[in-house]
Amino acid sequence: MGANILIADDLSFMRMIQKEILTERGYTIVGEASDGREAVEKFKSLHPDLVLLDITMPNMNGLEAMRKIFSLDPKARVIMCSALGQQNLIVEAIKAGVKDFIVKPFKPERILSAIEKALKAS
Amino acid sequence: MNKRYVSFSLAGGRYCIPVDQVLQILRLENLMEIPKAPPYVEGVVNLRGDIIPVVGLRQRLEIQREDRREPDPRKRRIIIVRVGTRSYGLDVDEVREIVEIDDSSVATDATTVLGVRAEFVTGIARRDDSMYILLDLPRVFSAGRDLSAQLPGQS
Amino acid sequence: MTNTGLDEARLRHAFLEEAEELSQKLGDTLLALEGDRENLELINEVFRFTHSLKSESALMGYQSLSELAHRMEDVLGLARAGTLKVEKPVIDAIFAGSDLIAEMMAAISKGNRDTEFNTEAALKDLSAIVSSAPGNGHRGAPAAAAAVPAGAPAAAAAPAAAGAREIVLNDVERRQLAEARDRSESLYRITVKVAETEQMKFPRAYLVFCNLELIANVVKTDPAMDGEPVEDSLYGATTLVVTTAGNDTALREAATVDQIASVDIEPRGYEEYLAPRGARAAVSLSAAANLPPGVAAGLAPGGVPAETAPAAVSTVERTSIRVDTRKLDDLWSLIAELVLHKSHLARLSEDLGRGADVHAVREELSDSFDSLEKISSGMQQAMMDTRMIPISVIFNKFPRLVRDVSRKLGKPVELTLAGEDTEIDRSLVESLSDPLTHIIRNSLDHGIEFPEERVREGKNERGRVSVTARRQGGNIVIEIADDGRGMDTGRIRQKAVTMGIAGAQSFSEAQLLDLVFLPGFSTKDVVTDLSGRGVGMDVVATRIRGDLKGDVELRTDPGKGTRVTLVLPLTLTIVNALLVRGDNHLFAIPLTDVDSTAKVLSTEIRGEDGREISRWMEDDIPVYSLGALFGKGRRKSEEYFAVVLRHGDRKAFLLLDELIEEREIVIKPVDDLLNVHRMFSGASVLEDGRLVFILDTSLIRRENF
Repeated sequence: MGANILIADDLSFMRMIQKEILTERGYTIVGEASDGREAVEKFKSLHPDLVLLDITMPNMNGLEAMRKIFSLDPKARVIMCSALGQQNLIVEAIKAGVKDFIVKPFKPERILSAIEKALKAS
Repeated sequence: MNKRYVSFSLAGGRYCIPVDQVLQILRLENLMEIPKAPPYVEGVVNLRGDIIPVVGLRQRLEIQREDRREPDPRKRRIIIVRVGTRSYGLDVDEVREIVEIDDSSVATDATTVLGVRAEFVTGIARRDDSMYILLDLPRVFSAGRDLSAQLPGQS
Repeated sequence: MTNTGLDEARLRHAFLEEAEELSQKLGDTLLALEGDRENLELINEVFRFTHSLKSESALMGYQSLSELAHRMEDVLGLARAGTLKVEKPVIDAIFAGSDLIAEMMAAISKGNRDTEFNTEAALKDLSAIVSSAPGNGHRGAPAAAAAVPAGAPAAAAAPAAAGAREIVLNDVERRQLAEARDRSESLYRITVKVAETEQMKFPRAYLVFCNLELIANVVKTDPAMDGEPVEDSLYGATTLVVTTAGNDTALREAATVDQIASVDIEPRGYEEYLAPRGARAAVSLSAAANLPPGVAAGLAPGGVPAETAPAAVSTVERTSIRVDTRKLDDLWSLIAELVLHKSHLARLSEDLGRGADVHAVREELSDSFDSLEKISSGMQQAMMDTRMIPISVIFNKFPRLVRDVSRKLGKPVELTLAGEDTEIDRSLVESLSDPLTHIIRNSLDHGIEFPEERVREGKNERGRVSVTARRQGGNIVIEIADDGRGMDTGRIRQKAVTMGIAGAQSFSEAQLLDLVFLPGFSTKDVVTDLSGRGVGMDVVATRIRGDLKGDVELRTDPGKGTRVTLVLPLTLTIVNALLVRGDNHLFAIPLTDVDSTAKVLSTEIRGEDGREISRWMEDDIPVYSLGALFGKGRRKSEEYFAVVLRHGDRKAFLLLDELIEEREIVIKPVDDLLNVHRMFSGASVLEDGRLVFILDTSLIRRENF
């Protein structure tokens, strides 16, 4: 409860939806990023408990950003968001250490349960 | 421009081929015969699992010249060359030295080349006291459109 | 979308704002694209716009809009990848879609639904474009790969039933199990079912696999997780064979990943998987007649190792492969040229009929023949190329493997990879994966020392392992090197002497190291003396030397490190063939082309020389002899050995001097120089070095026969 979450997605509409769902559940959105570079920057400065990363973003995509985040903190909690048909990218992400992924369009229960699980794990 | 060539002798003549096309030089062992091959294909050698055709230049170049001396059988070698993505073998009397030949000293308009079929020759170079025949390897190894070659079933 | 208390109106407002902007930008960029059709940046932008529109409208529940945007995204994805040229029909179809979207947006903003619009025509046009793109008919990811149906595996086996599959292990996996048993670990069979609602089942199963790998040893999965994944839905139920020093609680926790519907963990006994397998069933000639046509005729997706029992294939039997569409494009162009020549030849034939000059026509025919030569070898090459994939397919697993194992062991190790782009025949991928993994594991387990020891030796605390691949002539050379403790050849010599290996006392270093590949040297107690370094190397050697017809070599520098070098021939097409002798030459006939063997009496042969026939079953079929085709002619005899050749609907007798045996041979392409008469479809070299030519059975169809 009350965990700090960083949302990264290039569509402001998407970020808005995610923000609504999460704050309703009591999570705090410490920051938003609209591209990979910003995501890494904000991760560095805001130290969120968890990051929601979209896999296709301009200016450094989600996979790259995730790798950079892991190199900053190997214990970072990252959940990858992807559209259907990006299986290869997801598998790459899993190989690099992502703990969970969500397929868009997602139902709110999905994203909430994924976050809950990720936060519960050490 | 100077280029380096491997030279060899065959039926009394001196020939050369570009150094970067030469893969290996083998003794004449384990040459395997093949059925119904063209007369200039002497057989194949097995090089690390690759089946490499060996061409007899005497037949291929249709050398008319008579040999003055019998070549020493112990000096006979197969030069394995690379043409494009494929490898082939050349049966030669003796492998000689590496020579540097300047492009400008190569004559390309000789019509009768010392009794050798001209289409396989890219030019002749004179160096010291010898004449070197530069071979056109891709032509030498191309299967040739021998439509007149006999197809089985006809006698 | 489920209502969780979100302000619907605000949401709609935000959606409209963004989507309308996207729609506007889409239209504008399309106009620019129309004037500059090859501009990749513009194509990318349009792709992103349709992609975003698709996602957003789907979220809001506007299915119709989303589907339209999705279809447009597919087309643009192909354009992005270069597979589709943006010609007029393409631009038109995208414009039509874009216009429709704009209208839908307008309607939605007035409070109406997108379903009022008829998208059928637009969708149809877009779909037509997608399926007409060369080599494509598959919706999906931008860098599209097309599925090409290939022949079924060469073994004479019925395909594994889709129902309850029993997992069968290969040699390396059995070895791993045996080692786990020796370490007193528990064996479990875990079946995970992915939630129905999960749209990407393979990555889900893969997540479970990765989690389990962190805390236990996953010996095998079904469907397989390494190499290329099979059909996604098959991963809906994945089985993993796992050993662990702990108990099943930790396993259950690791496997209970999000979107996993059920986890079933069953303890098993080692004997179940380690029971001795039945001897390989010999393929009898009568069975050969039942092999489906095309099987093993050089198109087998993978060579079947001789030791594996054919009836139980341990990995999922694949009937399709993924191919880079560019390679299919190459084939496509060649086919186009072929068609051109076909019409050229037809015209020449007409010309002759109208009395054209025979010599002139002959010239043209000769030219045509030349071109056909080039096209046909081009096609052969192109087909072989589709079999080639970059070795990164195997290498990609290694970083993770090294990270996990080094973490488990407490030895920090740095892995460097090189030559990942080197292409290898896809049939090698499955067979190479295990041995390489094994060698790397070996390096980590027994080669690299613990950090304290390394520091004491003056080495960097971090161990180094490098895996490199490169082409060398007609081979692939793969090297795995570590900077660990190396191997003590003195110890190997001692061991060899104790084991009674003749002459071991005076073996050279190279000879001693080669001993490590002997089965005797890999047993557990021997290996403890050698600090475990030889473990499983005999299996690796059998795989590399036996199955893959390659070679493996060990080099070591005591105290400094060890290097394992594998050399593998590039293409490995293996065929079941009948070895025969005719006029002192050996020939091989693919079993699929052999209807039967027979004995033919000279009295049964009728007709004249060159046009002889004889009776087989109810037909009269032509009689040929290997002696006449390739040598001095048929020798006189009262009876002859023969095979009945079959090609398509034609059959013929082929008289021989001797029927030798059936065996598996590795086909090598045969150079044109050796095959002027086109009698051979390839050649092979037997273990004893003898040369065998593979008969091209289609010669029985030729007109002048």
